[in-house]
Amino acid sequence: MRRILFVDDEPRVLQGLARTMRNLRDVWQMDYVDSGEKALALFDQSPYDAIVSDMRMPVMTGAELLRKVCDLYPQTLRVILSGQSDKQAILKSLECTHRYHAKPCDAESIVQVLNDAFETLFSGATILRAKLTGLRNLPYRMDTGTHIKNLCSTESPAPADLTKIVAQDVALSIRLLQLANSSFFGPPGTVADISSAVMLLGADGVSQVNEIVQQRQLEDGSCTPPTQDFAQNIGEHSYKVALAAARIARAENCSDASVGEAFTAGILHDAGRLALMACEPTSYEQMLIECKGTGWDIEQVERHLFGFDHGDAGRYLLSLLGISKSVVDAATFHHRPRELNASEFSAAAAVHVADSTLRGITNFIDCANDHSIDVDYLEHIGCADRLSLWQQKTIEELPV
Amino acid sequence: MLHDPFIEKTFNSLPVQVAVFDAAGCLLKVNRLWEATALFTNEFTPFKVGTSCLEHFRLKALEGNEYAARAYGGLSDLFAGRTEQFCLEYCVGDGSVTAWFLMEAAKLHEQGGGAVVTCTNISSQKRYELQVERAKQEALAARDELNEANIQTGIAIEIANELNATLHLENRNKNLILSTLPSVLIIVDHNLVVTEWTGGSEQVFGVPAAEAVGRKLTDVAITVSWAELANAVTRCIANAQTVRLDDCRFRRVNGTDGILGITCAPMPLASSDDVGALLVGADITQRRALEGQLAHSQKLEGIGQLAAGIAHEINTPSQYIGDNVRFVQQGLKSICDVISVIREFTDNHNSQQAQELLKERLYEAMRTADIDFLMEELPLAIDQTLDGIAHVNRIVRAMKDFSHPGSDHKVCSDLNRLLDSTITVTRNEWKYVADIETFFDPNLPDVPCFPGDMNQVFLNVIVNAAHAIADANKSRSREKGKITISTKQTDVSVLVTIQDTGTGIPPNARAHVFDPFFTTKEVGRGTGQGLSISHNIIKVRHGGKIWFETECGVGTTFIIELPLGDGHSEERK
Repeated sequence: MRRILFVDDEPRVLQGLARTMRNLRDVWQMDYVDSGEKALALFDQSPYDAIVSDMRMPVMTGAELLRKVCDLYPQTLRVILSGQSDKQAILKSLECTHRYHAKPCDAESIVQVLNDAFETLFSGATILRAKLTGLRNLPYRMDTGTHIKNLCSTESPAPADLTKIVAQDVALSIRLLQLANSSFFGPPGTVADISSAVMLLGADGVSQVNEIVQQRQLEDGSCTPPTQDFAQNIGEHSYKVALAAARIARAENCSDASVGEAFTAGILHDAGRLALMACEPTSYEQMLIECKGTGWDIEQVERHLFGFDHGDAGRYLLSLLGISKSVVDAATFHHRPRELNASEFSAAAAVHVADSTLRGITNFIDCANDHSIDVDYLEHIGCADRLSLWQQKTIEELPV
Repeated sequence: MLHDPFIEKTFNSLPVQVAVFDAAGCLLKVNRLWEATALFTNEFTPFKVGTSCLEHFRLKALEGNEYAARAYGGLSDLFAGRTEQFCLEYCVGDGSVTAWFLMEAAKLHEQGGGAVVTCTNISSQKRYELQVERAKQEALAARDELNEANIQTGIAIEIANELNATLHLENRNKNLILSTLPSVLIIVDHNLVVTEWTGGSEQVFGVPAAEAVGRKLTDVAITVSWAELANAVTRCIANAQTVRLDDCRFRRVNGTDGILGITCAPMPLASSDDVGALLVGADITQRRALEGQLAHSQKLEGIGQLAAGIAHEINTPSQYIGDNVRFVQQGLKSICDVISVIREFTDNHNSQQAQELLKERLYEAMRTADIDFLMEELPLAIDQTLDGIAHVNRIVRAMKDFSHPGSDHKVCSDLNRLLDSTITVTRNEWKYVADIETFFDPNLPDVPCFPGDMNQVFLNVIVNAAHAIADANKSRSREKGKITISTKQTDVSVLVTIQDTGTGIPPNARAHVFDPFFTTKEVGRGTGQGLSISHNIIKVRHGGKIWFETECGVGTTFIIELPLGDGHSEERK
């Protein structure tokens, strides 16, 4: 039975929740406390699978509580349920929160958020869960950070310009999508596209998130050269893949929304590599060096070393943060698209071809020969004859 | 030279902040005022004796501070001997206006060179400039609307220009100067007969001097609140003291109502031994309007800051109202299921065996429905829903009271209720750091006041108290502080006391508490206008008093005293 702890300083909110949630008492074991201290004391007796906390509370705020839970019980799913409408305050809890939910909301939507996240939480291998749930942030590019800061300090920066820079950093893009998909900014789980996320949050929102991510990076000391280089490599490669995937989708006469989705999936497709780097910086770096030029299948090596590969890691992490499923699938099945069981063209095919083609011709981090294109899959979705056009689309406009 | 006791004393009693540098730009000395006002000064010029101010500004300029960049450029030139003087207006506070200073630097030629730098707080001039700028904008806007106004603006600008020119010429004909003054200048003798009608009197009242001089002031063909004016002039002459009228209403030349600010000063008459009065005044309608706007914009700012908090205050009860009502909905459905079995049970006269079966089903239905839980929880759910609705209503009502559009006249108001509304709308600002305890005098008489303005004053003081407590909580234990609000009546007035257990006001800030744009809060937490406007509201608008008692580490008490009024100065509604 899943164990969930609700924390809110207003006892009537807790009682209301307890009443509506009672019909789930056979499925979940739920406890309710009115302060962060009491919550931690209960965790001390026996950790919960999920914590749903209010934000503004006297003495210990929700953000502080979730930070402690993240440190002490990294495997717990962390959800904010807040009536706060002040953007700044919401952003304060950014680094330790998987899901945000705005008050007032009905019990079903909380249940849905929890179920949705639980599905991810308990789908992956235990080892995956242990490592990725407690992850606070991914390696982030300090250079894009500075760009964004500069751009945001100008008067009314154009959203398109902002998106262009944001899209070059994977960690920041993920944070923006996570926020845009929370119920603070509209119906949850509906923003599949990074440029919509940028529009929704606005220049000051982007700038604030950027600053928080940057600050965090400086604090945890992960802006060291190897991590920075890695973030930069992944960022640049992912941006190329994103542009190429968008061109491919456009060549297939997709709607603007689908083109945006392909673009966004391109940005996020290697999120798992960053996650692995963040979890196991030393051994992941070692692995990259040792694999170089060997022709080994990088995913197989990852599975061997860590118990899961970067596709799994990305899928797990992105789903946990509430990023829409279609994007997550397109992004994270890029090595094994046939596992999606699709029968027609989708963003996944565009990302697969763009990524494989680019890794074949550019000097990307791992030069393993795992960049082969799955022709059978293309045949299955009826796009085998489009391959040469797509490859051409991928390499056009490629900076020499 | 600097160690000479006389020089030292002079240096330290200068009313401006002074710093002396050697030829290399290293600080030698600052005067006492510089140290005393370090609170502000330090933000831009935290000079240390023996360190270079050039290096300081260079580093600050590298951080992107444009004032520092200019200071660096100007002072470099000065120390290098390329210029003799340098001055710079700069603003302290990151972007949003907090305080304005004027820095003036001059090269020293004695003692091997060096420089003297002075800093003057020019925030109030800046504020005035801001108002003038806005007045100018308004005048321009009005010009477009009214042709008549067009002419007036033209005249005003001409007079102003002429005045400027005149003032620069010394010893010009006195009458010419007087006649060009925009202020009203009237001299009356002890019988209130006008002997001088000059300055802007003709323009402001539209009555030529010829028609005024020699007449009794009350007989001059102008419309003004005579009772007040005559009373003031008579008092002035009788007691030989200056009397100030801030709110003298009059009819302007264009037929609209205006406000005149007049000072009556006793004046010995040239013609006799009697004492007359000099009336100096100006049409302050525009200024009043601007002050009103300024206060209004600060109020809007206050409401803006509150909006997020109020949303939070409403979202919380909305959450549990929704949850409880949904619970009642589910519960009702379960109860209906049970009742339908009961119906079968009572309606049908079945065999003993069938009855037994139904009984079983009834128990089963009650178990499924969790009937004991429902019976216990349903009434609570309804109670809490009603509580929640009452809470939301209270906030909405307080909001309505709070955003009261304000009237032109004072209204007899229940200060307890005004305080209650303000406490409710600001709840989210203080509830996480403090508890509020109220000791309201239940027999408090209604006080003539502008309720909207009073709400604003209470808001400013309560939010300040909450901020002071939040700061205090940071350093001491994290327990909640306390704000105590009480009201009581004295013989002639009503006292409102708002006491907090916050940090207290540091000694060097105490004298500036009511200064415009003075703030010790970090950027974004206040513009420094709240208490200055509150002071204005209490003192000027209500003829009351606002003061404070404070002790560092213990807290601050603000006391507001409003006169009960003697029945004629306020209009009852």
